[in-house]
Amino acid sequence: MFSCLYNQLKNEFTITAVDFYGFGCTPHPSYPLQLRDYALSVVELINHYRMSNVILIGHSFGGKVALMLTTIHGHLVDRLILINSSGIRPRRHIKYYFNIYYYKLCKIMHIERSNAGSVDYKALSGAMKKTFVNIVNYHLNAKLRYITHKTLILWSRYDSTTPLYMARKLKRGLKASSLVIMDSTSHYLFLDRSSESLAEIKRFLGDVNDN
Amino acid sequence: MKKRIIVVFGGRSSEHDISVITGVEALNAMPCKGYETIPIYIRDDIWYTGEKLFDMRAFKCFNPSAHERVVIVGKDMYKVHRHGKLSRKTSIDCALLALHGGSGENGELQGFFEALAIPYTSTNVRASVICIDKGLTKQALKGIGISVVEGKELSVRATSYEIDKVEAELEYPMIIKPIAGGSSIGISKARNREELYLSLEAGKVFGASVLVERMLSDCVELNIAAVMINNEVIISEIEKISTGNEFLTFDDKYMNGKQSCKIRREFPAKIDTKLKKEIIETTEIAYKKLDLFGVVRFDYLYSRERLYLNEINTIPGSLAHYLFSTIPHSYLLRDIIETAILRGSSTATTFPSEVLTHVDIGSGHGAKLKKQRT
Repeated sequence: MFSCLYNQLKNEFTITAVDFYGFGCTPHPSYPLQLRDYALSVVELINHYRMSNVILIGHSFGGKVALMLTTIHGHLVDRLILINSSGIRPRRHIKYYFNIYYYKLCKIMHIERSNAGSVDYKALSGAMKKTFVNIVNYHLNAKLRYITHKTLILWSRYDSTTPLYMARKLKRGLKASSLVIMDSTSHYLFLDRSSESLAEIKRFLGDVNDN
Repeated sequence: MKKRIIVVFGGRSSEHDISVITGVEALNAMPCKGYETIPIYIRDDIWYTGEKLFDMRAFKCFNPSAHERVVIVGKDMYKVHRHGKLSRKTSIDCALLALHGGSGENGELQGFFEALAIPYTSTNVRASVICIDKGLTKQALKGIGISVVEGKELSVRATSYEIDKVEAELEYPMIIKPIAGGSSIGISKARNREELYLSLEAGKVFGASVLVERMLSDCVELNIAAVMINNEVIISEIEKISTGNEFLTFDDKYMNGKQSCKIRREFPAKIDTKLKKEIIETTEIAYKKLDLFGVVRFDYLYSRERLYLNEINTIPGSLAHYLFSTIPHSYLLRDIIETAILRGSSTATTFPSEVLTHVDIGSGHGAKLKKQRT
């Protein structure tokens, strides 16, 4: 999925693709995880390969992890690139709150509702279900002001998974950030507008110093 | 400090579409450390820029109002607003030319950038003019002792007497090419006089005269590229192209359709070392003697144990990066740009003199010096 990014940047940078717990080939442990654990796993990786001048590129959940990592271990990171990243508390529709409290009410009254939950949630099983809840309900709004790294925020204008107001909030929260919005409906911006987003990333990384 | 590189492509030319491919390829392959890449797309004599030009999709159905218009004044790029107002965008350190044929390869833009003292990655004006004109190329190559295919320049409105003369010198079948064109656009074959008339008629589209050449029997095309990097000429691998058709047509080269099965590419070409050595030596001589610069592709024809230098492309398609198999595209671009910046712009120096202080226009002496009083 990220091969277009990899192919374009491999000549000039050393690229490490991270496979998180429960994604791709890395197994998920038997106990539930917090967002912090994901961030610390990346820190482990950075320390293991003794990386310096780390540039984190995160898409969606990866962006959330990158933000978390930067708040707790900011000295390890040089720059941040966030593409359609999550991490901002979403504005929910009134229907959402109705569903939540209806479910809670049912729970109190000991009525079993087996078909509750989102599609993503239902696709998971075991400990990952709990992990999913932990991550989805963790927001980084209050932590943004501790991040002073140079940041590039790439966003697609008409994406429904991570709407545009999240990008604006990120831009406001992160001090040294620049926001680029592209006309696209896809959550996978770098697939839909690969050349343009690559051009922006290349421009952003143009004055990285090598030492 | 990042160096700002403009990649210029498109242009007024029959090879506009090929240039777009070359340009977009180069834009996406440009190294990012230490460089900022700015696209400039020339269409209908207007210059456009913007991030959208990094994507091939922008050209499939080009919408002029969706892109910024720019002009270059001095060493700076200005954005054109409505009502003709300008605002400065950025300065320019080097121009990477990716135009083929027409206004880009014939020295026009080279002259433009030379006048503005912006370094550019292409051969200078003089050699560009020679290499775009197939008739001039022939004469120049003959002058430095490189064998070329026999050929004659012929006006498209040639009288039958002139055609008689050409017929006497060359034999049928002949190949008729437009004088200034590439990518095999407008090339045709004539087996007899009727077909020659027809080709001349068709040649009117491309200019006032055409080049008529003797056709070589069972020939193969050998392509090689050379590039100047840090005052050293680097020679690429050789590519061998053979077709069932006697010469490469535009369809063969770019339309990967039904006919492309005829064309056989062999890369790197399996040819004997003696021929390879000859090609490399000839290429080096031509590159140095003609004072070329940047990536240049040389198209050779090999027929009956003889080697002919057929064509010199000062800005080849895809900047011939596919021929340099050992150098990645981005490194090649970086090296070309660094060499171009090192070369600087125009080499002409001004000559300080005191002429102006002694001239008196009113005295009736014209531009001549006024007599100095002793």
